[in-house]
Amino acid sequence: MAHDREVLRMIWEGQIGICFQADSEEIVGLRPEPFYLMVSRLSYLPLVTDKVRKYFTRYIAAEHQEGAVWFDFNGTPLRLHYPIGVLYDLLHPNEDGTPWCITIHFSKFPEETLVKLNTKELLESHYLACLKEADVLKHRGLVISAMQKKDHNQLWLGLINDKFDQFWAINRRLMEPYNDQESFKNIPVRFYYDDDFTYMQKLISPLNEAGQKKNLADLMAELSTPVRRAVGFRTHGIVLPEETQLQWMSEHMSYPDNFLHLSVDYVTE
Amino acid sequence: MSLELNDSWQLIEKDNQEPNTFLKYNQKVKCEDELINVEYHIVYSISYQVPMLYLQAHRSDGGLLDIEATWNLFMPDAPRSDLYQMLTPMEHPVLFRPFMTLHPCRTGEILAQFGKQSKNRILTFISVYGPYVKLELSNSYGLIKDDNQRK
Repeated sequence: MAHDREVLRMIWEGQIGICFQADSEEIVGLRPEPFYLMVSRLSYLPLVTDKVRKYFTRYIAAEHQEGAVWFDFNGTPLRLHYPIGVLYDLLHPNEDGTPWCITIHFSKFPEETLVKLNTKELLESHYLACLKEADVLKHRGLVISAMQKKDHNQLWLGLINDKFDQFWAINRRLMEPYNDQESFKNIPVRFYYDDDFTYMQKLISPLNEAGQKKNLADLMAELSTPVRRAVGFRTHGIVLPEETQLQWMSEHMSYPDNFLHLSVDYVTE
Repeated sequence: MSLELNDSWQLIEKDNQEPNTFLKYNQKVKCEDELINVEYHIVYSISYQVPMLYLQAHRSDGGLLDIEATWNLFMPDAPRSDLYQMLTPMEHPVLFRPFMTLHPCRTGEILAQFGKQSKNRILTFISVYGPYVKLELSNSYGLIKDDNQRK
């Protein structure tokens, strides 16, 4: 059961300082000052950038003002449907604590690279699809399908309005093993490698063959091949201790989409 | 589980094996009215343990159809609220490019209803889901299947 509430709180309160800049080619007239914002690591760019968009719209040529907004960091388009914390950790912009400078664009949406989830409705349907997928892995989908539409709404509203209690009142049910089980069936997890937006998904059981709970050291062994050895995991900007149990991690360190998003460090043998 | 693909003169096949158990397979179909080029991919979903249908539609000028246009193309009559539950933009799990996908949450159930009769779950899957997105299989597939069984 997800009962280390302080950990859940700390994860929930993780924030990133972002400095939004305009695309100089889209600006008419005076160049606007950058826009600074603290955003939740757990949220998504389209959910937190209403104000940013409104601010820059005044400086943008009229024909682009209604365009689909997207963002890039040093030329890398940022996926709108990845949690902001995942984007930040993958790009690890600067370690010195200065704000993360990204550019906002109103035109030329890179349709072949970015999934166009630029409205709240589309993002919500994507988010629910992730929740469902995670629940299929954890409980064969039994918990989420027993929930009502209003529970799904409450999760989503809790996330977009940054309401911890509202969100966890429902999410708690998704984060408990089913019936009298000790653990989930599989751990919903996505593995990322450095500098790359691709991830790998695998069926990862929280238990080993002897029925004992696996920890990260076991997971390293599972992901290692004769040529490439997994040596470390990071998420939420934290390097994770080897002895952390997978089941505990899934319950406490998953993003609101119910997936663990782990960056894996490899060494080549 | 391994996926078996029946080949045929009608399909342009491109198998692409990732280090993992991903198998990919694509097919190009032209749709009338505006001559839209639709690319279908059947990708195996690790989480759901079922095939999933991904598609991408391009206009003849190379422009990508957005979600509204795709809905209009395939399901002009369905209410919008239902469509959010059915056909939505997703990232292709192998290519990591934007595609549309049909939600897989009931695929397992539907395929299970066919019991042991289905020797090829992919064929069954395509013939059940395909028509919704104008992906029609030639009847000869039924014959191919019989041939294989006789062998």
